[in-house]
Amino acid sequence: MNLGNRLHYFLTANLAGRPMLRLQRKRQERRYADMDRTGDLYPPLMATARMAELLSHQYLKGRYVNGVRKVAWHSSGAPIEILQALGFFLYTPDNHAALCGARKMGTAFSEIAESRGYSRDICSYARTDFGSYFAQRTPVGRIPRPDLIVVSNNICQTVLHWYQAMGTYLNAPVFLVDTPFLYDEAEPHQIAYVKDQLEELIPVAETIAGRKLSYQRLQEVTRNGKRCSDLWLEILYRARHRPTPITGFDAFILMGPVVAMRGEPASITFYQQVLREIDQRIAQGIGAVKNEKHRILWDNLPIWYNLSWMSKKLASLGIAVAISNYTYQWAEPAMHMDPDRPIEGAARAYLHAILNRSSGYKLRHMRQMITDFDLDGVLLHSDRSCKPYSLGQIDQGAALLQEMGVPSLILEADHNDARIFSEEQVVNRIHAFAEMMG
Amino acid sequence: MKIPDRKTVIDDAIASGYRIGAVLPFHYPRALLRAYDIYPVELWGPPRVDAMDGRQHFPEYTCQIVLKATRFLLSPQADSVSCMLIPHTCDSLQGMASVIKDFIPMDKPVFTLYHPRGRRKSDLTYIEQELRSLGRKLEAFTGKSPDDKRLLAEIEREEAANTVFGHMCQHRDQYSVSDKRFYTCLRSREYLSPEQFIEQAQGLPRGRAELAGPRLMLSGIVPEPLDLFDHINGFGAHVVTDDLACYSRRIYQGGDASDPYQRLARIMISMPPDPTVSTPYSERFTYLTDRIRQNRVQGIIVYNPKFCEPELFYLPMLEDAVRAMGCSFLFIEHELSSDVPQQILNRINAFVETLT
Repeated sequence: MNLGNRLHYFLTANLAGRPMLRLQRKRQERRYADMDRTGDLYPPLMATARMAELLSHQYLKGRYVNGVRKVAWHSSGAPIEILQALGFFLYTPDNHAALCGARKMGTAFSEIAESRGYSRDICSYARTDFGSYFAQRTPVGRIPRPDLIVVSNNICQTVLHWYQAMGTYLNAPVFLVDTPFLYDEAEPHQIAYVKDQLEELIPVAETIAGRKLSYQRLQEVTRNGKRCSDLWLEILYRARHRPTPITGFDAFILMGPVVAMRGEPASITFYQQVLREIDQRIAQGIGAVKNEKHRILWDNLPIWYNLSWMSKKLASLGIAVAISNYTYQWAEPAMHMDPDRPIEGAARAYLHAILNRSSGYKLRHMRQMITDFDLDGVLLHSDRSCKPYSLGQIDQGAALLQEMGVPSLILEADHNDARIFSEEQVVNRIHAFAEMMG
Repeated sequence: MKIPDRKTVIDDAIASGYRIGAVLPFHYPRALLRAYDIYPVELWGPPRVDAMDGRQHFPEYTCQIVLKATRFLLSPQADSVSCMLIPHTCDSLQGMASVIKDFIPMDKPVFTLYHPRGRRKSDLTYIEQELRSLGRKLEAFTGKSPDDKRLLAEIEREEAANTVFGHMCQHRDQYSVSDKRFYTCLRSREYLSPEQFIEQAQGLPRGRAELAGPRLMLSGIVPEPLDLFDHINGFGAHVVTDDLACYSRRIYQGGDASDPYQRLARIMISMPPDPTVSTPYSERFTYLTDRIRQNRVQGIIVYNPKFCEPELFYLPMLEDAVRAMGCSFLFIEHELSSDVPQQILNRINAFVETLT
């Protein structure tokens, strides 16, 4: 790491970058404050602008970080505490793909990947990242080259293939944290397996980082991560209030830091601010959807390219997406994380990710959310290129209706590929769903 | 020598006191099932079953093996099945196991097996414990407690069949039969006992195979229907080697541990590079290009059922690697069925013509 690189990094990412991003945030906050308040949705949380600042700063650092800090790419469900404790700069391709989707670049990048031989049937996040790599284009300026890739299949098996392909293209070592799928409760050997792998990761990551892992630092990062996830859970659970002060769409936007930066004090500060703003809304009786008539659960990934359209469409019918089990994925680890025993706690936490659990478990979880959040219906996003999340929805929907009298809507789309989305069909189905809820 | 059909074999197994275990693709411990008197019969579809009923539980973008197997297991044809084993090969089979266990009332248990995605020390330790866990579940189901000696004996029976199977996969040119006959014999390993399979394999005429015309490698999951081989031969080409999940990806090495579970564990991670167990791509490409070279393959046909995600990720890189060594490449996606659609045949025919 030469001095020139370090100086350049400091000047661009911190000295010049921070004030510039702060200015952008203030402009954004002013825009939110001046927004038209006559629509069906209340203007976004001010914290949304703060989050954009936080993530933009992370991406800005990423542009100049190679040669200054070691870089680890990780899947969104991967254990990051060991990497953070070793000082790696973290980059999450899943988040990048989602960002591309939200900026409506997912389809174009997917088409580039398809032109290079990738099938339209594979995950559109993966296609987005492949396309971005082939085109050498990204909305974040420049993506840091990985020194290490850590992937965990606790969200799907797809990430194994996706990250392995990226590792091959970039000639970077790939470390897998393999998490056996839990059809039932975790067995001791499954927990031991994940723990063993985390212990195997330490020397691999130490060698690349060029330093020894400080156990104390690992405990500190784990404590921060747990606090961050706890705060995230609190934020999500504020949606139990009627009217809900935030929607699942807000949560989709605000989840970035808990996915990729959960061990960092800045993320804790950020979520504390979010919580304060939400509590202010509750105190003032402000609902995210002005005329909240129906409260629903969103199952599966968001439809990134139509997030705003979808939230407005639902709000126009008085439907508030109070909670999503997708965003809950990053709240759940908190209950298992243990700063006193960080490796064992991480093994439990990452094994028990909701996406790594059975359809029956997910159904029980939906039932609990329906009760906790007093929900009237469930929107099951049948996500064409995300099989692990989508398989089981047909039976889950039927069971919810039969057992709880709660109607559901299976909405066929894709998280990043807009070609799958049929606006007319979706509108018709949402109207019919609203009628079903009464 | 005529290969006994599945129904006859299943009836005989039941008459001999076995329970029938339907097993989904594709790495699993045959010997462990047999030690508990469960007779494994593999389900790769089946192709003749209508997939529509499976769609009552799964979206249309689900692979046909899952749709058809679910439909089959719900039908009266599966009455002879006592239990199921669904290895966690991919997200689709994971989804199938989960949906069947949680939502579809069946009077037969579903066992699952998670195969580790690596070959590290932790992976070996894990698979041994996973097999022990499966053993405990089989014990609870069957009420039987086979001792180590019995389990070792079953392992040795399977190792003998594995050796013959592996030899066949690696020496297609030593069998002077048509491709269809050769590969049909190999697939009988999916339901015959080890001894029956060895007998069938040994009954194949040996000698130098007349493999004139373009030399092909068939890759992918499963070559359904097996008539595909006759069509390929009809176009003047031959499948001189394969990289199919039902064949060469199941060439297992024998073990030598005296503890049966340790031995089974070693066998279970001894297969060639395989995307479903997340072998690094570079290792897999080296393995495949070596085989292409050794077998003087001129063209590779990747023949996959639609929506098979583990296969789809590495294909662009494999195509580049294969073409770089002067070998042609064709990718075909198919729906499992009892006939090969004419469109697919036309593509294969045109591909073979480019090699001639």
